[in-house]
Amino acid sequence: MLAGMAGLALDRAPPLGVPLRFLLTAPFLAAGAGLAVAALGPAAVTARLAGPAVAAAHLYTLGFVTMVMCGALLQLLPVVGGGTVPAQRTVAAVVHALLAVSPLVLGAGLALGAPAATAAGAALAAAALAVFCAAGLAGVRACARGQDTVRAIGLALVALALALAFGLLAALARARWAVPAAPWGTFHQGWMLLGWVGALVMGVAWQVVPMFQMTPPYPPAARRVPLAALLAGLVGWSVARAAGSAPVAAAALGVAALALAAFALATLALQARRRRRLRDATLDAWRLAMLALLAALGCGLVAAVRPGAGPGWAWAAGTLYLAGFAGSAITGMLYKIVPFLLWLHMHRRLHPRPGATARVPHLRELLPEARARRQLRLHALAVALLALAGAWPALARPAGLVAAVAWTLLGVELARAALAARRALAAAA
Amino acid sequence: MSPGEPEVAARERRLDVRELEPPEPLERALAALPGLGPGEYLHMLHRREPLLLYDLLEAQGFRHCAREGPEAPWEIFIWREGDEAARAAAEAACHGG
Repeated sequence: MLAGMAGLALDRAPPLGVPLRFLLTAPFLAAGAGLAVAALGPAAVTARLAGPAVAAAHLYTLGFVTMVMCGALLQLLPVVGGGTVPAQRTVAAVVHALLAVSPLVLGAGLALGAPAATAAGAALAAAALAVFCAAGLAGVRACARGQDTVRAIGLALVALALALAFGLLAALARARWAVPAAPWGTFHQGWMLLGWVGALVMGVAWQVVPMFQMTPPYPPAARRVPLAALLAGLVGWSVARAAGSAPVAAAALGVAALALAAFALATLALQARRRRRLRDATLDAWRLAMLALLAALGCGLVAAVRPGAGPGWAWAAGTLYLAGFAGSAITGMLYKIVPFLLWLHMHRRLHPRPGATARVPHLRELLPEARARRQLRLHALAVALLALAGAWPALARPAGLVAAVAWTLLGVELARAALAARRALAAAA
Repeated sequence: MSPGEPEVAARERRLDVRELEPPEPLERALAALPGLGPGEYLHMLHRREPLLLYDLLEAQGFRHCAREGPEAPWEIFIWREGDEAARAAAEAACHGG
């Protein structure tokens, strides 16, 4: 029997340890970023491009967002597209270790103004991302052609490679090396945020929103048009910006923003038509993610058209995008994917042959809904406080603290689920 | 009848999991299979092809036949390996119905 195009070949999934190490570590690095914002206080908002604030941003984007996305991609590529990442165990071990250590070293270097540590951290992060991009793109090439999600993953990986190159150029320029003058840091942020994060969340959503949230599928046009517009917008923005044409660059960036807004609206519309009306932490997390994305684009628009409005709008846009959009989507995914991977692993271990009767705990037993909801409420409060700190920088300290508690709690809930699975396996042995 | 509750109809047990989110369809199917009596097969109604289930079925000594529609986007007929009567009935339903 041929597999349906939307079918997931979960029997091709990698061993549990390959994705799980990324998913269990990441929340604690996000908590570190929250603590860094709390320690910086109002300066996180008012001097967001100074070393310490950039350090906090990298702890979050590398240690949490990119960490989870790398783990999720190692799981998703074989399952969605049938292409296995070469040497996946080695790639997972190397990339995970480098992604865990590099933001700490890079962050310490940036925060303390120590160029040697900054360079070492940047080199470690570059090594992690270069290995991951190469392995990930090899995995994409091994996938069956024609899948929209695989196409989005490929675009996201190319965007990550470009963002890495621009980031290195920005770091060299910051260290006063003789690199050609260009807004490297701006290109780095654009390709990292809109390209890597935007395209990947889109492509993953096309699979997981209909599957886990029981919505109708995204219509083909709602997948392809926003993805193509996002790519065209990013390329147009980069070229126009490099050529010094500000109006064209702004228009192109507007196209990319509209693509993301269209994706958010399409997702909210599908969620409103879902077949099952039960409350679910993942559904709420993804709703929050889409609303935060729309709010981030609105704040970004204000920051772009009214440069004199102060740094608060850009801060609000950045935190709504990173913590509100990416952070909520990732949290929602983690609440589904971690218990599911544990459950699958237990099933395979406990029922390896006919007649095996050991009981496999239900998913809700591994990670009860009430505990997920409690964490999600705290996360939503953190997102609101972080965004409001744009208007009232004094809120940065409590916002960072609440975010640190929320992300620690996320890490603890996921770790508890993993320990519960381990106990169940030990009891059955 | 509420979705997810197996009912006995001659040699067929039906399991409608179209309204359930993953991995509840898997959990329901794996919970229902040990209760299959001689000659009985499970007729699953699903909104997508449960590729993961096939992998787990093999390990637990069951065989299956799957088709798209007409009663559901995907219909899966599952029987215990070695139960010839169930296999014949399930395959007839899968290919004929």
